[in-house]
Amino acid sequence: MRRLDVSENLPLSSSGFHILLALAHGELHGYAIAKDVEDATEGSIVLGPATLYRTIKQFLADGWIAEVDGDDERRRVYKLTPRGRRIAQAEAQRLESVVRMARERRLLPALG
Amino acid sequence: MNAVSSLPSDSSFAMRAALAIFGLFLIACPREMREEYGAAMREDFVTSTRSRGVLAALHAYADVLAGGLAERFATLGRDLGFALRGMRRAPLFALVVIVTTAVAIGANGAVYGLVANILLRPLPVASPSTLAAIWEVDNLHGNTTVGFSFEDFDALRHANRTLGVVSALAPVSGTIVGNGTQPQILRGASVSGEFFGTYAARPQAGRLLDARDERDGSHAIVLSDELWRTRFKADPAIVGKTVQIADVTRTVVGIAPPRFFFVDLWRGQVDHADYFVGLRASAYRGGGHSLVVVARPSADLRAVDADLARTFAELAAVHPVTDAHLSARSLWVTDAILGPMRPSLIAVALAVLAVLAVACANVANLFLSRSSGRGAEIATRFALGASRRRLIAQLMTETSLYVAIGGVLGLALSAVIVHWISSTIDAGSPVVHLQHLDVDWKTFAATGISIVIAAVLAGTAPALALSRPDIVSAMKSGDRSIAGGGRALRAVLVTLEVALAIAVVATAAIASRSYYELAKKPLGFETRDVSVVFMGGASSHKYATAARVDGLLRAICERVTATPGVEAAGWAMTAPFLGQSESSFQVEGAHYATGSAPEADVDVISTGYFGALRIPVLAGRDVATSDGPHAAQVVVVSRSFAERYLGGVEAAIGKRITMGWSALDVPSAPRTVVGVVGDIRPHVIQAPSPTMYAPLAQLPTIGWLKLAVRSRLSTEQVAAAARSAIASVDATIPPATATSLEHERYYDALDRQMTDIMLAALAAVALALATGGIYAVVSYGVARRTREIGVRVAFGATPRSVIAMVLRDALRLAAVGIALGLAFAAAAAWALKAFLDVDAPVDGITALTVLAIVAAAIGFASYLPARRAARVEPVVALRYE
Repeated sequence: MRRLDVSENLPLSSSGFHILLALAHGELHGYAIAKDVEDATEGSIVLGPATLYRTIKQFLADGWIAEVDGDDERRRVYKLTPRGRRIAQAEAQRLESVVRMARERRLLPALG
Repeated sequence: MNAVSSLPSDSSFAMRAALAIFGLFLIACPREMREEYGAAMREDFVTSTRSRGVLAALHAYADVLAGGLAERFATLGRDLGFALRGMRRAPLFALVVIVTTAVAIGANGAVYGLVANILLRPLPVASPSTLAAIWEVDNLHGNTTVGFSFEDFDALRHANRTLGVVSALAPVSGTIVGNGTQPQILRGASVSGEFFGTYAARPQAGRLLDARDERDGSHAIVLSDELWRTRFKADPAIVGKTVQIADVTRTVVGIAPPRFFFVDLWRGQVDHADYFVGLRASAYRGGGHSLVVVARPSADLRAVDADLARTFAELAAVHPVTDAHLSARSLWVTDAILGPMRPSLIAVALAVLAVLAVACANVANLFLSRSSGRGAEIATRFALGASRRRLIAQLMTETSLYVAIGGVLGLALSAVIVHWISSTIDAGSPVVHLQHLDVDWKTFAATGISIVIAAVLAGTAPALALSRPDIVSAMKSGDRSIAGGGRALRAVLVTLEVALAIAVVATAAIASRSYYELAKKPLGFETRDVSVVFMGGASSHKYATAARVDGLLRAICERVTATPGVEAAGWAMTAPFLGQSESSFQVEGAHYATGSAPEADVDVISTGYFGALRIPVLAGRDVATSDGPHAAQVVVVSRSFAERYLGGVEAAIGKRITMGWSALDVPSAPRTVVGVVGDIRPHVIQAPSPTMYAPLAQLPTIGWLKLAVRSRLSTEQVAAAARSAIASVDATIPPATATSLEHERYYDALDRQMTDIMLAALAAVALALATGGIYAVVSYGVARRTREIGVRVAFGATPRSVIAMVLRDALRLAAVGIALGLAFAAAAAWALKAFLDVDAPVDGITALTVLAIVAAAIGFASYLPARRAARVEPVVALRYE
């Protein structure tokens, strides 16, 4: 398997990143992911059904998330794969460096 | 407001309705996505709507619609990307497919456009499909169809029960003078009161003609829009003014609508006139059968014909002498006008379809050949879980992309071809509805449909073959041929291609052969250096006797002949390419059964005419100036006339003939045959017909005359000389126009030549495509057999024997196609003879030519892969194992 070069996948779309973030908590089914994203962003990101499942489909195909075996066809549960976790980490680091740059340029107040 | 009560429960009507609507929006998603996530999305929808209400539902609707469509386009985009990568990998293949499609669709679109323009474009008259032409049939003279006499028309319009509106028209012409401009010859129509009603025409000013204008002494005239705009400069106060036409002062009562056309059965087309006057009964009573009658029947034509039979039986009872031998028949106008062109256009249309079929077979063949080389890739994708549906969709997308590119190029090609054809036909075409050909929307629609048919035919076959469920096991067994039935299908396709190509080539060969067989025979006269001057519009009042007509024409002819550079000149009523007239006749001493009096072509000529056209005098003499109005009446006949009716060229001299025609003040009397001239063919593709030539002085006419002039001068110079000669004799005669016989000869057979050219072009396309198809199959076969050929070479087969083997296989492949094609060709020859009246010499020469052409194409197509096979290195071939 070729070495994972995460940088070519960045930046992630905000909805995609938030889905990975939601799954970083643990295994969730589709609607729970949407609910988590909405709560975490205080309602600024609301994932509609097609947006949610298109992204899930893509992440499954890319191997970033995986389906947890279960019986309920309507309540499929997903979890983050190690690869997905690395992608999410890389995106978080990228955002962190962006924020750091913003602080250096006095767009945000300095920490502590 | 109580927030909780507004939230629907799972089973409430509102929730079920909202969910049903959600189901509708889900259709926007591709089926794959619905199958995979549909249940989960519904579940989520119910959960979110239950907890958060209507806004969440609306948001979900919008999201599913937008997201679903985006997913569809993403799939299409991926498939297109796949197709484009395929194109880059195999550019030659892509080029062949695209060119094949473009050429087939280009030819198809152009020829279909032409056919549609002629056959499908409605005639420019109101409701043409309900308009019927009514002919009288003269049972005495070989059941020839003739126009109506006024009495018969009048009886018909009062006694019929099925015809609806019946109207009559007689073409007339007249010279308009005054208005301070040059005299001008105009074409008019003398019409019955019902005429404008038949065509549902409305005046753009004043009124149109009706029953009250159909009487002697009516001086009402209706002007055409064109005449009103040109000669009268669109004078808004024209109604009520007087004009001077054909020596009669008439009052303008109205202006016909713009682009007003009517049916002129004499010219077999839709036509227009410059002016319209009322039909005067006195002018047409007993005046021969010259009325064109059309009707708007309320019944089908069988009932109309029964009605006509009844009406004519009553007429015959009343007028046993004049009407007992007459009957009538009806024909839809569209059939009467388009009928004669239909067979040749249908032949061309069938050839187009054959070419399209060959092209589709070819494209399918190319895709099949390639699919076998892509077995590993497809099998891998199949094994990785790609559904059959996805694979087929992907392949269809790929095929459609190729065909769409080819289709767009083909569309451009067809526009170029139609433009070329219409500029070739140009305004010189005498047929009104052939002018202004254009690529119209119908052509685009037809071409679009061809594109779709080509895409479906070409795309489905390989897609289905590729998607066979046993594909994986086929791969495992190491068989490179994925498409199990593909080889058989390819053989069938090639057979079809070869057969259709032979049929089209044979049709084109037969058609052009028969044309050139006719065209290469001598015309019987010389067209080079002959100009023809048209003179019309001389006053029939002024020239009402044979002596006056003779004096006028003789004076003009003498002056033109005296012009330096003019070798010979002579008058004629009709001339080759420019019309034909027939007359019945009786040879003195011969007896004819009732109803079998013979007819022959007749022309009325002056001295100098035979000389101008160089028609040889074979026996006796030319007409002479001494054959004046009061001298003994004479006639000159053609060789075929002398041989058929008078016992030969020499025996003809001195025999006496009575012609059915008489004119002005010259009584009808037996004419002595004084000369026999060579046969001429009146049209390029018409055999000579027996002809009688009467001297103009003894059968005078002043209507439309032609002066044939043999001269080194240009046609324009001849026209100028004729104009000044005419003006010096009678200044009231309008200026003459002129043409050259060479020009007329070119246009004479143009429609037939166009048919031949189109057929030849289609034959070339079909042959090229079939050659490509054979090449694809043979070279695929060679590639497949590389190992076998390597073994053969290793065991001592020579390159020559390898080539022979490949050629033999190709011939075996083509043999069925050739046999089938020859059967098609025989059917085509029969159809050409039966429907097109193409006297087709289907002899050894034509058959061998076609076979040689096709054999050369097959040989060429197989030789290239055969040579490649001969170069197979056994070691290289075997290394693959």
